[in-house]
Amino acid sequence: MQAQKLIETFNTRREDFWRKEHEKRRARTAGRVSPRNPIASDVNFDCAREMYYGVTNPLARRDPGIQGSERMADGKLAAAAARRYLEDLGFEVVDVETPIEAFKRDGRLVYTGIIDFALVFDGARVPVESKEVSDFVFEEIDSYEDLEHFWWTRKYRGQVLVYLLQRSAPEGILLLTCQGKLKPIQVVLDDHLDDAELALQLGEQVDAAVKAGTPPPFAKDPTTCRTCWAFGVICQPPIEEQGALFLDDPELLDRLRRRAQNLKSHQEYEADDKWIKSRLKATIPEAKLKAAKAKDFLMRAICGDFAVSIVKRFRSGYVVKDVEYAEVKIAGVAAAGKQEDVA
Amino acid sequence: MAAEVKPRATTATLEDQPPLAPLPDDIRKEETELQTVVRRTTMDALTMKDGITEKDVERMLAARLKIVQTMRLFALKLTQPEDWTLWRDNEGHVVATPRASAMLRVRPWFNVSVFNHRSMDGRPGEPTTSEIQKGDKKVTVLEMQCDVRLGTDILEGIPFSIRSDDQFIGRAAREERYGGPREQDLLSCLRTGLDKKAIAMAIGITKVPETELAAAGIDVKRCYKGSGYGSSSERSAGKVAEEGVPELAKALWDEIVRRTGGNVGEAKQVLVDITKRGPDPKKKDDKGFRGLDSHERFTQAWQVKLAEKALAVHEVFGDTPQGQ
Repeated sequence: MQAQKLIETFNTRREDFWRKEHEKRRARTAGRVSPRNPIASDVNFDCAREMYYGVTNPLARRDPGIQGSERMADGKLAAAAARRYLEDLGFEVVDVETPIEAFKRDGRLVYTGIIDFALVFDGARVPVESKEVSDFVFEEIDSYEDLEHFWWTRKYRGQVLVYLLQRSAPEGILLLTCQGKLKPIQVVLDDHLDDAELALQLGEQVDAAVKAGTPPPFAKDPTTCRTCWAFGVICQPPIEEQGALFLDDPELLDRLRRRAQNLKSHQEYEADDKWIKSRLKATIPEAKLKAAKAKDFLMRAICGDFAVSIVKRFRSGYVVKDVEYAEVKIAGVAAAGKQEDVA
Repeated sequence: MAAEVKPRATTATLEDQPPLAPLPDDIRKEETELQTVVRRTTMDALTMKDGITEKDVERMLAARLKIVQTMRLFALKLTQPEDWTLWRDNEGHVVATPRASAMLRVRPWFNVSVFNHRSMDGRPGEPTTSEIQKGDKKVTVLEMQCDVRLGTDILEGIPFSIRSDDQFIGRAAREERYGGPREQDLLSCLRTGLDKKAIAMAIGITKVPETELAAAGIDVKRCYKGSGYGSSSERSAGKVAEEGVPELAKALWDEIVRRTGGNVGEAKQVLVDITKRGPDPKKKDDKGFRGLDSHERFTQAWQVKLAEKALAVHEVFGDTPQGQ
């Protein structure tokens, strides 16, 4: 009974604590008189309008729930723990939670922000932005490109790039932390100059819009609005879907149906083929295969009424060139396998 | 598709995809024959056609009906069971209404635009807000309207409203213990609900009979349950009977009545006996369960199964009664 009472007290205090914290934060935000600018952590490649409302209507943003607040607080603790760990590993940590010198272009203030810390390495200061993420995000992200996977990790890209630009640093680190685990992600400015330039243009666009008092255009892709805090609260974007073409093509429809009917057989064939070839390759003495030259190695086998031959081949290496192409994805929508009903 | 219309092979490319609505004139020159039929069968087009005959009208309306039915079926098949809420009236008729998630799946496939979001008195981008007193609580009511266009058909002034004490307001409802729904939650909920309603109206899936949903391959057992399926508190506590449970429970009850020789009073006592349980010593403060006195109170299939097992070993009316 005592433990139960303790838990109830804990929950009540937790709610009170965060309510007061949010009130304090709101009072601070409301009392600000200094001009507001876009913040590096708010770079949103999908929607400049969201950035605009972040600057002009910060109080419209919903307070995070209790768990959200706790996660954010945990992020700060995780960043501090990561710093200490890096120091234990012998790195020199500098510029801890330092406001970046306001980023300006053509004399106009574009971004402000606070850098988590920098590491001194080979005589250079490498900016580091630390982010506490959940387990599945930690496992999923291994590179700058992987940050594209989640709408919230997309923002990390712009933030680090702005820091690199502001500090004229060629490289930086996005340090993912998760339950004590660390994963540094390399960010090379030269490899992502397009993104960096876009981030700057967004900042300038938002800054100009704030001064003019006119919000930038709505996001082009209405699906980005689904996760936006401003959607329906202060931003009412129209929804415009271009829809799909009706293809009045009986031959195409027949082929699509035949393709769907054969899909299972295709998958079974692929799985069997993979299993069989793997089993057959396992019968080859590895040393013999390695020693033999291409085409010199030939092994024959008989299994029931099947004849098998295994030959060593040589394949020249090649680099796949960058190319833009149209990818076609086909999905049946017949939930109960009644594909014939779909016109 | 009407038989008179000759199908034409189409080789659509990305360039053929129409841009955002409204469609520019040049696209209409490249439309498929099917699209031409759809466009020409609007009522306005019919009245303006020279020398139109009854047969023409019949053919065009039949074609239009076919298109509408195809679109509707296609829309249903794009959804998942969890995208629907079932409602049952007093006579047992069940209809399904789409949830916001259904519209998110469906809308990219239709040339649909939702625009001109405004308050009820026309202020752009703002909801109409009012407060009403409900007992000792103040309830906030938010209202908004918008227009929707599907192809060339426009519906104007579609209204939608939510109340802060509504049951179906998504995340807002879950925040009750933290001081009720927040203003921002209600606002985004209003917008989501309005878009959902507008798109559902445009596509024609505002209310769908349960049977039609099932025919489209949707597993209706997995749909959310609304009015007609127990009280709201029972629903939120997961106490609403699973599909098929009433039938199982009735079969069990009939068996008990048979075993008691038609003595309903005795059958009720047997039902209590086979559903009650004593306190679990492993659980602190567990008071046990005193049993069900009516088969209508079964809500889960496992409860019926346990009762069947208990009936089989009942000391008087079981499969091998005492003394045999």
